[in-house]
Amino acid sequence: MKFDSKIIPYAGWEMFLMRAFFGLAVWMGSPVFLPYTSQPHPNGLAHFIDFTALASPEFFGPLRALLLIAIVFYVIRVWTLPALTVMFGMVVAAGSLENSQGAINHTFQCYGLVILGQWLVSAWSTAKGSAARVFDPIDSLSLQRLGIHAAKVALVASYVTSAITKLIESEGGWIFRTVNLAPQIVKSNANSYVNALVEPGWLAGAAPEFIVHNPVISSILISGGLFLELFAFLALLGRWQAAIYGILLISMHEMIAHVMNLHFPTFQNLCLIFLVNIPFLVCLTIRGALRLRPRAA
Amino acid sequence: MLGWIPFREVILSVAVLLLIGENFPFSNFPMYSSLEDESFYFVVTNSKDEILPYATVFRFRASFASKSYKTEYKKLVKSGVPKEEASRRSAAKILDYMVARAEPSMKPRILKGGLKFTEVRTTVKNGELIETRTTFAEVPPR
Repeated sequence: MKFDSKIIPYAGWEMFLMRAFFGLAVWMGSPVFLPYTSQPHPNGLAHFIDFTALASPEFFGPLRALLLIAIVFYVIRVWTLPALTVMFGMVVAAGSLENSQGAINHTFQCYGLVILGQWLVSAWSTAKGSAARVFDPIDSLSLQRLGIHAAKVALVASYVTSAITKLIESEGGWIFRTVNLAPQIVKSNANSYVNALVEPGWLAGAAPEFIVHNPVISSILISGGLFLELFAFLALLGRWQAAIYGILLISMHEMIAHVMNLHFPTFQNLCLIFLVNIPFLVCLTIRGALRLRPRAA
Repeated sequence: MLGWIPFREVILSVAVLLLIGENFPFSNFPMYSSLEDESFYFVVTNSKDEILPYATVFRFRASFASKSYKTEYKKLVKSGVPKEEASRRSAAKILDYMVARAEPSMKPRILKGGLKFTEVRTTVKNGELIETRTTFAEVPPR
């Protein structure tokens, strides 16, 4: 077997469910109201475009309705290119405005990137396609598989980038600085506490103390997360590799959530949808159970 | 031509993300990348030194306060403002912004005795965690 990424021959129903869950995640994650009437620290396209009109409910309401329509078309894979264009436009507009307030939030970039990956596949197919492709609004199975592959590439690339940034910013010394994660854990838990005055769990206090008093063991444990991110591209080797890697990444996020009170639900959603692919695992389990069932004499 | 390179689409995507950096929806995802030996957060306290919760009182998030402070501070220092003055001015701006956003029904009560905006800095020193507190901005009693 070649050591390379593989476009998995997913069944149509699997891809339909993946798109449905992703569409639902985008819809549930998109803001209902944006309170920002200025862009004091422009980020991304906000350098060139004023997105503050989104703060007006009269303007934002119809746009959200348009997003819903686009998601439905995306899920049923009809006129995917315009549907993905609307979805991408909405996520970028809302995200750029939110991130132009002086505090960069890393929640919705991954949704934007996953949409962009699929949009590129769709645009490429339309650009190279014949006139028939333009008038045939329904994506073929192979094109859908390519779209799902692009979504997975965008997701794993985000993890690999995060790991490489850690190595660049720390000049290769990230593993040797893990003791400094202790004050960061104190900060993230304190931030959660002062938000609503809810006491964090016992790990919030125990983890920083453990790290500063056991720097070597902590370094080994924490470095596991760095390597998991760095080699996230291995999830593209096949179905099982994707499922196993997805479970490992979700476990890493859960661990971070318990220790640091930092939650990454968007990343976890994407891992669950595109890597773990629960419907496939359920189907496999049912098939296995049926095969094992004793036959009637 | 490049068919022999494994995972080339991932390599290309990572290169794009690193090159474009922090421009939505692109990002180099720099969370906890530099791992400095200290961290800080802000608390807002009333005249009785009680901590006021960001979410319910100011309709804001504590992490946003620290990030906004950092952005404003860097901007001021870059424009030539001395560091101490930049700290005070950045903190005052964020506190003013939060007070403006505060829950209207709570505003008179929280402003009555005045507010303090205090930085809590945690540092690792000789295998111990050291905490220091500095009040950077205040709202006088009204």
